[in-house]
Amino acid sequence: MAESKIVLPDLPGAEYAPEPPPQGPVVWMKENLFSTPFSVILTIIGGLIAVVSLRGIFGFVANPERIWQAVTTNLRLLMVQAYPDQHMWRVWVSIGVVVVLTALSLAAWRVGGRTSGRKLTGNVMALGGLLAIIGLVADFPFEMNVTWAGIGLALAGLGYMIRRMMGERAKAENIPVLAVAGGLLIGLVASLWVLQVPVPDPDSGIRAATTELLANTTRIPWLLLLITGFVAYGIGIAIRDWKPSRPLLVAGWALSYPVIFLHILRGTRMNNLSEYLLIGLAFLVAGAAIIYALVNLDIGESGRLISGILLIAALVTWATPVLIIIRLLLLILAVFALAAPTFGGSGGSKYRYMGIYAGTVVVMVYLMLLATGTSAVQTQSAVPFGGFMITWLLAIGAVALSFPIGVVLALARTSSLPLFRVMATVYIELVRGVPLITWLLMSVVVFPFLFPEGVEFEDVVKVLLFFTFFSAAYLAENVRGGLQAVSKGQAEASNALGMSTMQRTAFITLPQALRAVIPALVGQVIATFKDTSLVAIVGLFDILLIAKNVVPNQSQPFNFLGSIKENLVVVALVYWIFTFIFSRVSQRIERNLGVGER
Amino acid sequence: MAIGENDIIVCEGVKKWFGDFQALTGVTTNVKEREVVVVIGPSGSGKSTFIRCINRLEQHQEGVIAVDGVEMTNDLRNIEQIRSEVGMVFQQFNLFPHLTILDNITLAPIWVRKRPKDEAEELAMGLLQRVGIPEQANKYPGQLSGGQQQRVAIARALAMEPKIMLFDEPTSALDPEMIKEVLDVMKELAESGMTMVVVTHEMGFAREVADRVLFFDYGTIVEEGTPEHFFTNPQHDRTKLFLSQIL
Ligand SMILES: Nc1ncnc2c1ncn2[C@@H]1O[C@H](COP(=O)(O)OP(=O)(O)O)[C@@H](O)[C@H]1O
Ligand SMILES: [Mg+2]
Repeated sequence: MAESKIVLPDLPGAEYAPEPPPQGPVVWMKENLFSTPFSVILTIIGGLIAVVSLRGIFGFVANPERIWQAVTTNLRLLMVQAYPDQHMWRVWVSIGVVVVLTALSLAAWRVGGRTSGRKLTGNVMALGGLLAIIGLVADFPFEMNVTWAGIGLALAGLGYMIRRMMGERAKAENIPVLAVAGGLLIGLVASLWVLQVPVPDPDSGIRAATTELLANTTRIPWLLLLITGFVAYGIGIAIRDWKPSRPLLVAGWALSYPVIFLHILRGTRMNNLSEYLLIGLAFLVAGAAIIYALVNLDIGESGRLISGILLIAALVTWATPVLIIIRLLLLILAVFALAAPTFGGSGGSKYRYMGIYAGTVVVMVYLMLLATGTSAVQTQSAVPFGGFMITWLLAIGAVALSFPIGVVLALARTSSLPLFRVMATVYIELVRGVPLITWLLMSVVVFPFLFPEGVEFEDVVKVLLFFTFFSAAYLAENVRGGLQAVSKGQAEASNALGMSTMQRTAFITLPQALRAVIPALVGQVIATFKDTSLVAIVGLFDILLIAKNVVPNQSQPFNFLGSIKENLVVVALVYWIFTFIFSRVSQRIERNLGVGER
Repeated sequence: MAIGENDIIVCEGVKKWFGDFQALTGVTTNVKEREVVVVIGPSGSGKSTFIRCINRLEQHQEGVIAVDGVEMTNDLRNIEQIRSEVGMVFQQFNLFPHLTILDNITLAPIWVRKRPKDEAEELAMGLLQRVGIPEQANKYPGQLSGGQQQRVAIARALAMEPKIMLFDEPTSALDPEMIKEVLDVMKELAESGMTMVVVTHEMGFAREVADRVLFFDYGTIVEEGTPEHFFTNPQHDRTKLFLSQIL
């Protein structure tokens, strides 16, 4: 045999899955709506229910008795209540901070997949179809039916035409989702220039005489915010390969809440500036020296002794009249000293550890300066916060503050030390056993007695604290569930590698537990967001109380008496929109975190 | 039993109860430096319990265990020190699913051994090279096959530069075609002079690599000896029965 050659069979190349045969709407309806006699009946019943509800809802909206001007005229009251005119820029700057952080984060984390022309035009067609159906069935005045149906059909037709024009290209997933979102935002802001609303006429009752722009006073700030957002996204793209950008953004988000709430919106004047700066400086120098000694010099047992003494000293000061800032800084120093051998590491990481200590001290001094200052924003009522603004301030504050507390409670409840376990369990069961409304009432009525004389909190802060304590208890239970879901093998593997309990918790158990409970955590955010409407019970004017009690009682300059229905509907819609966005965002986060994991 | 000069693991009369159930009924054996000991025995005979006592994932209640001259007591620092010198590989791999392969390997060297990060990463890449999968460094455990995951687990244990490696049925959760790649890594490790205690059902590995075989039943060592002794001339009836079932 001259040459033997093994002939391998040709491997088939990968192929696309065959396309499902094209289905007309008739086929689709036959398969999905009218497949069996029983489903025919169900479809007819369901269709009737849908038609009747749509008719009712849109009939309500279009009813000539509706006083929607009560809402449009009072938009500002609903959003920020009595926040003074000359300070309105503070609100816009606050939103600006959030916009910038969001845009930078979108760039830094490379958010945004791609979608196809098919899906996009599909959405346009669906929206058009919905409008057309509303136009056909709603209990509108006749011209309005025609207009809506016309617009809907036009939109659906437009979507269909675009899809036909794109042909095969419509299938490619090559349209960035972020570009679509940006386009929608541009459209939204542009619409502020054209959306007209009726202006009530004070002389001839409430009926409209003229119209004006809906966003008469706010369209320019919104435009500026839009531009800021785009510019920030561009900057974000430019610097996203710079390594510290993500940690810096996380720190920025963490700090944004106190900065916005206390510094910008409350306009706090820092009364103790020089004194607090000196104290902070002293702690920076002394603390850095102690931590340096603990991680660098091989002082063994005496190191533990030093941190132990620091901790005891820190705890003792809480029973003395020493300035609160000193007590807090001492506690921080003691904790950092205790954890120094565990996390100090060697090489670069010990300087990073000292950097984190320095950062914590600076932030704490800043926060205490804000907490002890007086507000520059004066209103007739004691509290400069109200409307939808207070909803956000309470919801975000409660969630952000309760998060670390909840995690600590969960760890304590699963700890092997009985004292911690009992304390955490008692706290959690106590808080969960009493309705939130009761706690809120007590926050204003009972709370002052719990505090030493001279310590005065504004009602908002008291309510915020109680919201925090309340939500921390529920959060702790969620996190505990996550901790229990981490398999025993994970703890064994970390133990076998010689990790200490603290290291195992920080690097292995907690990160996995938190990932596992993201859906529950988002549920909690949504619940807290909606629960803020309960603050009406203690006399804070949130959006719901304004909608229910304030606007419907206005008779001057316009007569909006009895406009409660309109207001409540709009408030419900506002709540729903944001809740919907939360849950959508959380689904995305979940999907992204799931990448590459079991 | 006399303690030889180079005995790195010393066990004497080790007893262990789970509640009322006695899992170890008095285990006495010493392991020398550079020795490879294979532990075999029927399921439930206490093999896992025994090697988990060596790095105190389980606590024994009676008897003495000393590793590298340090006796196992309840002193926490003692335990952490011993653990960082004894590497362990589990049947279920137990990689950290939220960390990349590289981070899985460098985590303990950086935080427990206090090594600088770049040095730890260099070491980790070297170990991944040694177990044959350097190209997987930036993936997550869930993206690897079982055999690859187990090799990462071995690299992770080796990154602590342990004096002893414990293996608890490292190939039992693997598909047959992946068993060999893991056994090859373990053979190479044995040849390099690592002290190893291996619980396994892979008799081929025991015959080829072991210096000594321990046969466990009812929580104690029923018979021990060289692989030749075991596979050609076992003495005890239980050993004969077990070997006849498994071979
Ligand atoms: N955590 C535990 N609690 C109660 N019983 C256990 C526990 N771990 C092991 N056992 C029991 O101890 C015995 C020995 O187990 P093990 O050492 O895992 O056996 P092997 O590894 O030889 O199969 C078994 O009967 C098992 O049921
Ligand atoms: Mg076992």
